[in-house]
Amino acid sequence: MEALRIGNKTRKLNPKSMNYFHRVGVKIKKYASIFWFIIPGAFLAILFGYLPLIFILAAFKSDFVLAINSPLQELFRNNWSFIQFTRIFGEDSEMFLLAISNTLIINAINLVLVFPFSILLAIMLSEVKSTFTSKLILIILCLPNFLSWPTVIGIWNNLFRDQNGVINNLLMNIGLIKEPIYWFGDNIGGIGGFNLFKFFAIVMNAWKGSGWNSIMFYTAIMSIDKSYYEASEIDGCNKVKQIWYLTLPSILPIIALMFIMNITYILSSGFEEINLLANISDPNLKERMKTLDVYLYEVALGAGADMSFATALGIFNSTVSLIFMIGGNAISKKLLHRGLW
Amino acid sequence: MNNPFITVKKRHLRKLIKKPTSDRVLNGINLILLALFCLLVIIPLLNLLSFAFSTGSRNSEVTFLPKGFTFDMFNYVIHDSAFWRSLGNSVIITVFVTIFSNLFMAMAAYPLSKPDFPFKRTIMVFFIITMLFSAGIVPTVLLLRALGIYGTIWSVMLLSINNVYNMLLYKSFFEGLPKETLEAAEVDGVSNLQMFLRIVLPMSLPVFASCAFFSIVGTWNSYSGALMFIGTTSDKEAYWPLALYIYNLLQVDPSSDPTSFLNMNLTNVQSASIVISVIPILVIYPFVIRYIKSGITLGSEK
Repeated sequence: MEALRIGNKTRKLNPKSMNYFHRVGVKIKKYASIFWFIIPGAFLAILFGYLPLIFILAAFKSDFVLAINSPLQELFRNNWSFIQFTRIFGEDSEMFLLAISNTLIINAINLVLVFPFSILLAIMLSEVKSTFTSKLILIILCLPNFLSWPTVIGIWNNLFRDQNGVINNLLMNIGLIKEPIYWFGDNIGGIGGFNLFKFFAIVMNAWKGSGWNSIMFYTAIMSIDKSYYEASEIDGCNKVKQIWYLTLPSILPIIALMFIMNITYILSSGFEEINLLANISDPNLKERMKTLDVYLYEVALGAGADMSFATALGIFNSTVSLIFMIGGNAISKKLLHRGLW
Repeated sequence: MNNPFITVKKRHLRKLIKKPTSDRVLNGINLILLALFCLLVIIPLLNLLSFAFSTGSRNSEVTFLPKGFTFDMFNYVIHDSAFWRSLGNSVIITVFVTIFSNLFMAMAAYPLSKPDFPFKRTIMVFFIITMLFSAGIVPTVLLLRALGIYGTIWSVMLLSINNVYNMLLYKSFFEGLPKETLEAAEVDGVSNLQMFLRIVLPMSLPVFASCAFFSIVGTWNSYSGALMFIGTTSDKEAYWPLALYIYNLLQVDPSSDPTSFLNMNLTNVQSASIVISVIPILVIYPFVIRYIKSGITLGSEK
């Protein structure tokens, strides 16, 4: 039996005796005063989440030019074709595959090196005895995460630029090098094709994010029952053994969760970072070091934009990301009983 | 002290408290390494500050202290009308997005946090699809063109309001609110609307604070939306947010006009602009840092 209050009247209802529409109607009446709460959010979701899907039709065209027609007129011009999708793996596949391989390499190194580093950082932080010190360290290490990418790259540019860069000046003062090194250039030290682009991309990412990423693990470690540690100490465990046999197994679920989340975003490389880094680097490098995000942007809006092809690439990218996200969420729900939704 | 029990106890205690030497060494190394990491974060920031306060002619001497202390760079930056305009744009965009994004998303999340809300699952799927599948850059650009807001500040503002991730955060927080309080209010005859405004909102201040902080930081720092939907052509300069202004400033070619003040002191002007752009974040950072922890634990518990 369910009691329903409408105004001052209270009615007793028997859910079993009601049909589906009646039950829904009763619930709608119960929540009538807050139903409209959803409307602004739903309106935005329709406007910017669903309406753009109409324009996906632009991928099924031989070309898409906005010089004369408005977007809608151009969208329904009769030049339908599948040529853009064959282009992705056909004549334009070289650039596309290069972008994908760059993205995968950068993300894989991030996963293998930067991700464990943030776990290590969390363990190191948790070993600091004084609360004040650990808080201070945490606040300092998290700060770069809240700086914008233009800020971070501006800072690193000051350090590593070729003219008057701090690193170059220091090295020249010590006498290690005679000429300033163009760190963001292509042939560093005269070695053909040797560049530090991916190195900088990964190191900057670590500098910006690892402190922040370690917070998650840090809170997980802090919530482990302290009596386990006391017990292990009496049993004669030293610190290293404690970390290996107690701390790491305890935070394994959250490590797995974060790992799956990171895998989910393996095709997105941080557009803001790579794009700006490519723009301040050697122009030759920019062509070779495009990641998928940057390539998508360049095809869509850069010089010589190809809107139909960009839409087709976007569909491919979104579909793969969708599969990764649903798969990652399903795996983390199955293994860890928690997911994004 | 002649009591044998006490001496035994003390000795016993000391043995327990005293850590093995290897552990103390490890602790020392640990602290040293952490201090090193902190220095790795602080030194580049100090370097940025020193460049902002130095004159361009002495840049080769700058390491971590300003050489030839001067306010000329800040003077130049704050007399640049383009800088002020983009600062104003950033403030407008950030305030607008922070207020409306959090308001709308919390509003949408509240009914969905009710376990017996009608069509709850359908509506959730409806929202989550927009998060999972984005149409891509070109369809969004075409839509904005069709709406007539492409290339204006509205495109960035409206696109950033729709933040389903925050909605999921709010929903999981509202679901975790103590049921007893809400039921007590319901028995007292409080309407659903009153309940949201008078009871749910005051109870959710921590999550509002941390979500608002992330909205502020995210909007203030992001340049990609403006790059794609406003554009970097000079006729759009009036709509640039500060992050895009700095993005363009970082790509100035100093050899184009070597006699101008900007190109003579390019590094220093860039640093000064960056320093000013970071100030708002630094001002709110200490206030919100204590809320952040609750926000994160919340995110992990979804």
